[in-house]
Amino acid sequence: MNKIQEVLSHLLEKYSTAKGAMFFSMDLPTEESVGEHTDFLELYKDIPMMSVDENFKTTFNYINTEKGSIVIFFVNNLHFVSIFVDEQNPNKALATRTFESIKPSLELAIASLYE
Amino acid sequence: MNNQQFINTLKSNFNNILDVGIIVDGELQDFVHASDVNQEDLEGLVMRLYFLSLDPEKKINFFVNQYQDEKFLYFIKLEEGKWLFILCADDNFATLHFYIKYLLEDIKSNKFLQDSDQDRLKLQSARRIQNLLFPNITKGLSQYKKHQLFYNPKDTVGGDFYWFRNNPQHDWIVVGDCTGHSVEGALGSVSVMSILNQVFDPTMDPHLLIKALHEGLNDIQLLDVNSGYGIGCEIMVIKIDRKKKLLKYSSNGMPFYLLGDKVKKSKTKTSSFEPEKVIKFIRSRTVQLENEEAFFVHSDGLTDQINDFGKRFKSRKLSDTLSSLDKGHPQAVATAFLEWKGEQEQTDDVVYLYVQP
Repeated sequence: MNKIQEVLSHLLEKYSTAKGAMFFSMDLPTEESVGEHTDFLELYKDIPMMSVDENFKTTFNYINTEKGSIVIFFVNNLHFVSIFVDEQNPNKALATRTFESIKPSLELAIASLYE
Repeated sequence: MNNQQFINTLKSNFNNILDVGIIVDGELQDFVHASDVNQEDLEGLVMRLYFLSLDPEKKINFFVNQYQDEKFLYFIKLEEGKWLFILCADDNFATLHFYIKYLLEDIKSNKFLQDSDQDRLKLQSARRIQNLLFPNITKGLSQYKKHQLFYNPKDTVGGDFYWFRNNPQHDWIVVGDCTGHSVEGALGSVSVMSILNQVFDPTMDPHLLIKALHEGLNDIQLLDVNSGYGIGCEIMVIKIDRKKKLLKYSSNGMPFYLLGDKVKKSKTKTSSFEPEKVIKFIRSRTVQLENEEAFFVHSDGLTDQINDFGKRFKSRKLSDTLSSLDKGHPQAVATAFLEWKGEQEQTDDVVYLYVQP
C-alpha cells in the first residue's frame, strides 16, 4: 500500500458513511483508489476537473445522484479526493472536518510524488 | 408558472441568491446577474458543467460547487433537459434544495394555478410590494459569525414579517406574526411595520418598543382586537449591543431560544390578544452572550406544521433539532421543517431567525 492509499484508507476509517475514496490529479499521472464504488467515482471525475478555472477557486464539490452522494475536495486546484458516501444528504461539516484531519498527511504524500 | 415567475419566487424567499438562470435544452435563459463574478466566465463554467451533467449514465439530481470566497454554485435538474443554476452567497443550499423541490411539487399539483391569472398577478404584485417593505436583514447581520433568516409564507403574501434597525452601537431585530395569513395577514404586517417605523426610538429597551407598538395599534383600531376584528400580533424584539455582546429581548408570546452547551427556551406568558396586559406587564430580559452562543426565534407556523401522519412539529421536535444543530449549519431547521411538512399543505406562515453574534 503506497502513501496515498494509506491516507485514503485512514479517511475511510474516520468517515463512517464513506464507502470508497479516490485520489486523482491534473498535474500528476497518479490515480489511487480504496474501498467500494470506485468505478462509480471514476464516472464523475470530469466534473471537478472541469470546475477548475483560474477565475473560480473551487474548494469543494458535492454531487447527489440516484445511487448515492459524492463529496470531492480540491487540493491547490490541482488534485482531488473524491469520496462515495452512502447517504442522500451527507453532513458537509463532518465531511470537511474529516478531510481537514487527513489533509496534512495527504499533502505530504502528494509532495513525495513530486520527489 | 413561467421561468421568470419561478425565479422571482425563489429570489423573494432567499436573500443570498446572487445569480440565477435556467438552462433549457442547452440554451441559457432568464439569466439574472447580480454578483461581482464576471458574467461571461460564469456562463462558460455553468455551460461546461451543464454539458457534463447530461451524461445519461450519471443520473445526477443536483450538485454544488463551493468557491473559496464563500460562493456556492448550485445546480438542480428541474426536469429532463431543464436545469436551474444559482450562485448564492452562503451555504444554505440544503434549504434551497428542499424549497425548490417543494416548489416543484406545488407546481405539479397546480397550486399556483388555482387562482385566476389576474388574481395571481395581483398577489405577485402584492408580494413584490411586501418584499420592498422588508429590510435587508441579511446585509444588516452580515457582521455576525452566522445568521439565517427563513421566511416562507403559506400563500403568496403572509402575516409573518421581520424588521431591522441599527446604529453604531446597537442592532434591533424584530420578528413578528400578525393574525391570519395571505392578504389579511399581509395587511396586518404592513400596518405593524409602519407603526414600528413611526414609534421606534433607539434609546428604547425592547419592551418599550412593544408597548409603543400596541399603543399605536390601539389608536388605529380602538381595541377591536378583543372583539375579534383587530390586528393581533405576536412579536419578538431583540436589541444587541454588538461590542459587549449584550442582548436584551422582549416578546408578547414568541419563544426565545438561547443556544449554548444546552438549548434554553424562554417564553413570556402574556398573550398578544390582551393588549392591556401587554402594556402593563411586559418587561425586557438581558442575556450576556458567551463566545459561541447563538439565539433562535420563530413564529408559531414552524411548530404548528402538520406532517403526513397528522402530527404537529411541536416545540419538542424543534428543541431536538436545535440541540443537535451544527452551529455552522442553522439551515438544518428549515430542512427539518420541510421534511416534516412532506406532501402536506403548509399550516401557517413561517419565519425564523438564527443569529450567532
